[in-house]
Amino acid sequence: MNQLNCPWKWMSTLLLLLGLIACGAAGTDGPTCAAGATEACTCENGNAGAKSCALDGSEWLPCVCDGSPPPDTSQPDTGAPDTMGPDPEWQTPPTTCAAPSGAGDDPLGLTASKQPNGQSHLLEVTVDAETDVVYATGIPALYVGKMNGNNLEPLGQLNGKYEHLELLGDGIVALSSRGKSNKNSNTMTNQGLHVYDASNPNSIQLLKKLTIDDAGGMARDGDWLYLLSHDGILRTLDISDRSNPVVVHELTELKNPWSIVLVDGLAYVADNTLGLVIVDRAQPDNPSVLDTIPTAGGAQDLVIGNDHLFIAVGTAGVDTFSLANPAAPTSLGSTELGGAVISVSFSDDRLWASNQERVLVVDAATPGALQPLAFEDTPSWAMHVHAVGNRAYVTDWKTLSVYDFAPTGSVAQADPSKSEIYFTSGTTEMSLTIANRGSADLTVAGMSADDPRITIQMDTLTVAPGEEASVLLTYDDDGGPLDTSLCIATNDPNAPVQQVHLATTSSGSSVVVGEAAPNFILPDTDGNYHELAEQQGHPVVLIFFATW
Amino acid sequence: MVWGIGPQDGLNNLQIFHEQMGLTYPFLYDDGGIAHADYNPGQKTTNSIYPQDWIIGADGTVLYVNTAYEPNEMIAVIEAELAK
Repeated sequence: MNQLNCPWKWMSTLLLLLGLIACGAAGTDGPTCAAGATEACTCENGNAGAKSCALDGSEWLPCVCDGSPPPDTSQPDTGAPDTMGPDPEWQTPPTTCAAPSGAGDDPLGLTASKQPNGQSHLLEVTVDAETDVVYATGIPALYVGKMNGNNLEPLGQLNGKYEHLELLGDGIVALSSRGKSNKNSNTMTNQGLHVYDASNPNSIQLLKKLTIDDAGGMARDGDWLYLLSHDGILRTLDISDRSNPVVVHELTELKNPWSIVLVDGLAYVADNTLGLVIVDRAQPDNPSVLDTIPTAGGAQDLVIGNDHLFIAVGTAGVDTFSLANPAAPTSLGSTELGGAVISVSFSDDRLWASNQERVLVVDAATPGALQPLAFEDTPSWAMHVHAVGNRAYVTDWKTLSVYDFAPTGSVAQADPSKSEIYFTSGTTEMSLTIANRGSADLTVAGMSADDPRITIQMDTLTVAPGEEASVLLTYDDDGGPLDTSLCIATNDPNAPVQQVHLATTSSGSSVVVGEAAPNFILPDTDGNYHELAEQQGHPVVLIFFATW
Repeated sequence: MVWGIGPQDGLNNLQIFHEQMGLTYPFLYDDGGIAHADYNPGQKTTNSIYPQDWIIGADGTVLYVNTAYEPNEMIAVIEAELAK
């Protein structure tokens, strides 16, 4: 069988493994390329672009030069410094690797953490402003607790699985979960909107179940509840009777909405496909779309603070909009925060964000010029953050965690761009950057590698807040293997000494056969999150692909 | 377990594609290619970016990686792993 005659043949790995035939030999004329395949091409201006093969395999489509699709990440790092323009003046940092004194106190730290009974995959958290009771959902369906001093006391839990929650007042909680009613899966028995009475967390009672496909994020205004669904619908529900919510309107003009916030007469929706959608809800039972504004990346979450709107847009960071005219938000640009920002919260002039791997605090007193203050890597996966004052509650996948920010002076926060660097055979130069995600100057006190074949140069030893330093590593390749650590000492009080693994590899892979597979956590198209580490004991096949 | 991971597609595209293809294994949505960045397969044996096939053993180590689709090789690796 000619492989090229079967466009998506490689996608059918599982079906083949099951002995099924996913796609037969088709067509008689040989196509010129494999449908869905991509390859590098040169743009008219000489920049690198990418082209993809037509769906019928008949031709290569024109070279795409606007930066999308993204560059080929499978290419080994060329080792070229990331900076453009004239070559920097390299200097050699001190070879010491001891933390300097006088770095100040780490302003952000973990205060409390609790793991629910049984399996836990916590996704979303909120706090009742009147009672300070904390509610988290995911697995289990509801986990209820309250801070007592620096201790998070569990008050109760309800087993099951949901993805989103909204407080309806008086201990009543709405929970929603994705999934389609026409699918038969034991993980989708909760699809829709379910309302529980959790006023006694020891005995949480179901009040009502509404079956709604792809149910997602929610927001409440009095007796109106707005419910998104991932198939592109905004539903308005009359919840004047909490035990009998009634859908009164469906707005079907959305594409893939993830989160919604409300102000007087308006709703703002973070739509992963469309961007920011502004909805007129002057008539609560008959809302309509006013406008749609594209965002810098896929919009996932949003929050209002100081008359501004902050939208989590993945690797593009946070988009900021002024709400001086609420019906026509004005973009103030976006701020990258490192990683993919998936959740935002606002309190006391500060924006909190999570990007799965860490929780971040950002000074938002001047919303148009966000200034990162501090970050803390979380033990598991930081899925969602909810800030109250100087404190943030974080669903960290396995645990519900509480982080406190102490606004005492400014500190530097060093964030190396890589935790491991591989020199492929023939490569003698590699680079990394060290970003300063704090609010004080970052000083590199020293840098060393315990191998004389590594030479270290930097373009600067002092990095202003929001800026980054380039590090050039030169490897004197004598043919022998390299396996050492680059030690970085800075005035970051949170991580004064950090290590970057340096090694040689023949393949150019970031991870090779026989090594541990990097762990990750990702949602599937039904909203269920999967963590690789949880498959321990079973082989796993990963197929990285593109639909185009 | 088999996962298809789409680092360069919106969730909507993945949902539509998944239904059109009638696939029985889950698609994972890797927004921004964060997970994919940790799975750099190195020297490519083909001139296209995708697919990249990885097999992870029961003990969590990488057993196999290929940037060309070789079903027989993959089946052999999986059968050997399952026979352990």
